[in-house]
Amino acid sequence: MSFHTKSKLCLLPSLGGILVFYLIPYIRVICYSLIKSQFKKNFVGLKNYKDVLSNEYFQLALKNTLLLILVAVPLIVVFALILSIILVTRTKWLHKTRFAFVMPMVLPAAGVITIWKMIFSSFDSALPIYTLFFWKNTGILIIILTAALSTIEKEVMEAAQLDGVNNFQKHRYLTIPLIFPSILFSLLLSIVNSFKIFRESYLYYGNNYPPDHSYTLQYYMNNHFLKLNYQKLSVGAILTSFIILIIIGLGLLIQRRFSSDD
Amino acid sequence: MINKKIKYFIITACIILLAIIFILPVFLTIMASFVDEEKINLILGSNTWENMISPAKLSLSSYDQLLFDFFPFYRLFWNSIIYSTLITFFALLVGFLAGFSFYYSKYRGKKVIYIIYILLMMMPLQVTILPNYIGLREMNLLNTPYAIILPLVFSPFGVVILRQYMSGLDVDIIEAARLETSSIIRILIKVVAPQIKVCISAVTLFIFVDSWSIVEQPLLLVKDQKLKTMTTLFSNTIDVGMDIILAASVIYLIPVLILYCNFSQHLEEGLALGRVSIHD
Repeated sequence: MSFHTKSKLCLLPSLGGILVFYLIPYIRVICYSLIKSQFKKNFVGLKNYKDVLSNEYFQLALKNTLLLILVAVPLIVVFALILSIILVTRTKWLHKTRFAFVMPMVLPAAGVITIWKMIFSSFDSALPIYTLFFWKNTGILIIILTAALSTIEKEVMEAAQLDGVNNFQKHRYLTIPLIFPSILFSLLLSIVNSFKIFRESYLYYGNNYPPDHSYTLQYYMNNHFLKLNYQKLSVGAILTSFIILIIIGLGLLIQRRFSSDD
Repeated sequence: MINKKIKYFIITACIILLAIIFILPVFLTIMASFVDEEKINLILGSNTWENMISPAKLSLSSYDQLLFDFFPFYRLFWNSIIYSTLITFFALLVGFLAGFSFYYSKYRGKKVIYIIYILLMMMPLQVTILPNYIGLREMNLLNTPYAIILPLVFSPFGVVILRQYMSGLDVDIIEAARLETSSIIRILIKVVAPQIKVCISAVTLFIFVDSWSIVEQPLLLVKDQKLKTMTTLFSNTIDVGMDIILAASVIYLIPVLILYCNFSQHLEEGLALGRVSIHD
């Protein structure tokens, strides 16, 4: 067997697992979403989709997730960008504080959730979930953005300073356009991560039913998981994956538009 | 000039303050695990600043109760350790092989498969858990340890990150090594692995932490209490006392904190996530 064939074969274990646990069952999921129920396998077309989309809990979950994307995602990217710019341009000593911002990224939320419950026990809003989102996801953005910032050549910035450009203008007209692809990637990643915040929300509210403002898509899914309602579950999974595909597609489109402008 | 210095000072102070806020949850968890139950109930009862900062007696009673009165803890802790270790080891092995394959071999359709991997990596659990469940059900693996281990072993995350990092490797090194030996295993271990050491340790840390913090999988894929993980403890504050949970949280955080302190530099260099793209 040639070396090339062997190197192709290296993919097999991974591809096999992906097929067995992800892709082939996903096709199953699509089939489930189109039939009436496990026992009556009549084809019902898009009826299940209509049911789920008009369900008030699904709408509530979708609304909360969209709110998180529209409010928290832009905020976290701006926050991480400002922090990264300061951390890159300041002294080595201050740079060490990055340790603190990156750490929550690897810390399991389960370990600190109890303290969150204690601090926010008298708040009745989605604040605990939003703060958890910030705490958890700033780190990865700082890694991405500082990596991009450190590729900007010093000469460019010095030349700008000689031209009498102030700090704000410098970042507005130089830094941000130069690292735009990374900013876009950060936005995309944060949107994807906002779908993952369920875990924290689940830990926070436990088995109890969460208040309306914190009801997320995964609660909807979990509820139907317990009832083993495959039809509703399948539709939920497919709709979520569609939303994410659209978001990623839009992101790539903007990126392509941007890079063809150069 | 003085104005500039003041500005500099204010910014520095703000950054330090923010850093402290980010560490605070961990610090408070550790602190709270060392006070007596009375104080915790006081804080939970009415959440005011006076109650928070009022003096408390230092006590080890939480740990005492956790370790000597709450025996399910050992089982859960041991499960978490076993699952995470096995998942990390096999995911790394599978991911390393697949990453190399994506990097080195050439054939039609490779790019399409790789795009599927990236899209799959972006999908949240809401999307993937049902396919996982169906796949496991078909193989009769539900309610076994494999239900938790197998889907995570084949998670595409490690593959994508390792392949992305390998794209910075020089193919000539591998071609040169091929003149010496024809064994792909030897080339992988002796030539490729040492070059991407940083990435391997970053991915190891990340996968370990990821599998250490799973919540939904033990909840939905196994029913038997004996197969659950430590994380199920934290969502359930009603059956188990708050003080026990706080002590368990600290014990739960320790392995991750140790790993992070040792590998934090690798994490930033090795993930190189900013480089993830489907163009190349």
